[in-house]
Amino acid sequence: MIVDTAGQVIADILTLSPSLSKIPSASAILDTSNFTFQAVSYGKDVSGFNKHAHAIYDSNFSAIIVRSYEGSSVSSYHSSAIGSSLLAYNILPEYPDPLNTRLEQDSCRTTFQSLFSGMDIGHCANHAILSSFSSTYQTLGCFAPSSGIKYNVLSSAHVSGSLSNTLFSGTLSGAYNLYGIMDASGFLTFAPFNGNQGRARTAALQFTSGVLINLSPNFSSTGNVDLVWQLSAHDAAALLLYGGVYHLGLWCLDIKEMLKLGHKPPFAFNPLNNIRKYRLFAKKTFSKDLLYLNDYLGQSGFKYLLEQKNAPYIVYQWTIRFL
Amino acid sequence: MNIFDYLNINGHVTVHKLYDDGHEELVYDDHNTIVSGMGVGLACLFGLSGSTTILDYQIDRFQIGVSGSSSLEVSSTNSLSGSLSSLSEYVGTDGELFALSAHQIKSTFVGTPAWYAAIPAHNITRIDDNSVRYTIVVDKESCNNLRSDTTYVNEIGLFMKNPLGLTPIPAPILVAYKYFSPVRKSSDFALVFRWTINF
Repeated sequence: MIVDTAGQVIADILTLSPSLSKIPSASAILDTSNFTFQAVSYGKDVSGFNKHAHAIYDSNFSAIIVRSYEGSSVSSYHSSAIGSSLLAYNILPEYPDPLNTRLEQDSCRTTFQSLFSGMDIGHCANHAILSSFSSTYQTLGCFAPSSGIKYNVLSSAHVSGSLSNTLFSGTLSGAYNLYGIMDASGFLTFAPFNGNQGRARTAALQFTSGVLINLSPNFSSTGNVDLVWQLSAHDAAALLLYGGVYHLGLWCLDIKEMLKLGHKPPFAFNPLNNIRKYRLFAKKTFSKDLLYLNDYLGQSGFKYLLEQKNAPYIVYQWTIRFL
Repeated sequence: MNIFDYLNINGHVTVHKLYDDGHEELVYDDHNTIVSGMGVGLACLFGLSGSTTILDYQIDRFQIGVSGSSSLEVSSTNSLSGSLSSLSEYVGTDGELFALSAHQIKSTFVGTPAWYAAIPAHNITRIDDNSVRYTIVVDKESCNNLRSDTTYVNEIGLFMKNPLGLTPIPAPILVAYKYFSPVRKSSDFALVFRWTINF
């Protein structure tokens, strides 16, 4: 769904003063990159921010700990299993509305861990990027640090100080944090390439710079703008343990907000100290976890995701139609 | 669905005759047609395949024509049926319109040079968060010198400046079109178009 703030972006474009071009210090505002797509984010149901791996914190372990509700034989993690096991948990994401300005409108702060409440930005944050914080802060989710973080999927309720009932475990190392393309607020940045360069990089599976604009050869007749990006298996697994993916968000820059804060263009992306403020352009909401994985013929879907040697990632494509 | 379906992009045009004594006479009041050129321009912008300056995606000019038709009020329209074709037709000898010559994007090709009239920046107004109003004033002395005495203006189009970023001659593209009741323009009155587009 294209939301109403997208219309505001277009109205901004059409009413920007041409006089700015004559002012050297302000002319950089006129660069198109200030108005085009600049970030993608992942979201989930608002209740999920206090469920799944958000719900268990053990100061004895700097690990992602999550309880499976599917019995001792399971070797994957399904967010929907919690939804059906905990009657008070409504796992459905918020129904999309044109007036939405973020993926979930209600507070997405994690309150279960009283010491670390995390950020409330309406979608999945990337607390793991802040290595200066304690390692326990990194367990707020929803992505894995590049240096790696352990995970444990438990078969039953967690007993403080013990991981003895672990069903399966391992270590996750996030690609987004390795390449520095996602900030702490969970905004996955766009690569600094035009549509034709993006097409070449998509063909070569070069996604390490961020989201690519992949213009097809018949772009001029279709008016379709394809946005393509990669979710590594380890980042996908981390998102899965924190409750999956039920929303995708597409964002432009919020120029007015940045100027109000005293920032001047060019508004460079810096994952560790990102000055960029974003405005929602479109969102896509799913009633089923995008990362739902079934076990198949006795093989763990979760492990299959992590152990794929040839394609250890998922590629998303989001098409915005202009004609 | 495309972006226009989601945002329900639409517009509205009023046409007034404005006389010297300040009296305004409503000639026409109706919705407009956003044509596919708007999508082409925005696709160039968001697909990073066009100009790199945002000013090239602004609607800064218009054309007036004399052989419009309601059948042209469809999204596939890419040009006016009979736009004024010379500097003389736009401004005559004393007109105050600022006429411009540039190429024009029609369908998939860049056509031959055509004449436009500029919309001054101060006549482009943000009405609310999602709406922009273009006030087009065809002064008393402009558009009077038409090809014959029985020629009436009856169509108008808004153009995006230069979405492909072509140089040295820009190539505007039609983004909105309106056919209206024929008006025989004379030096007795100015024509004022108030055109609001909601995004």
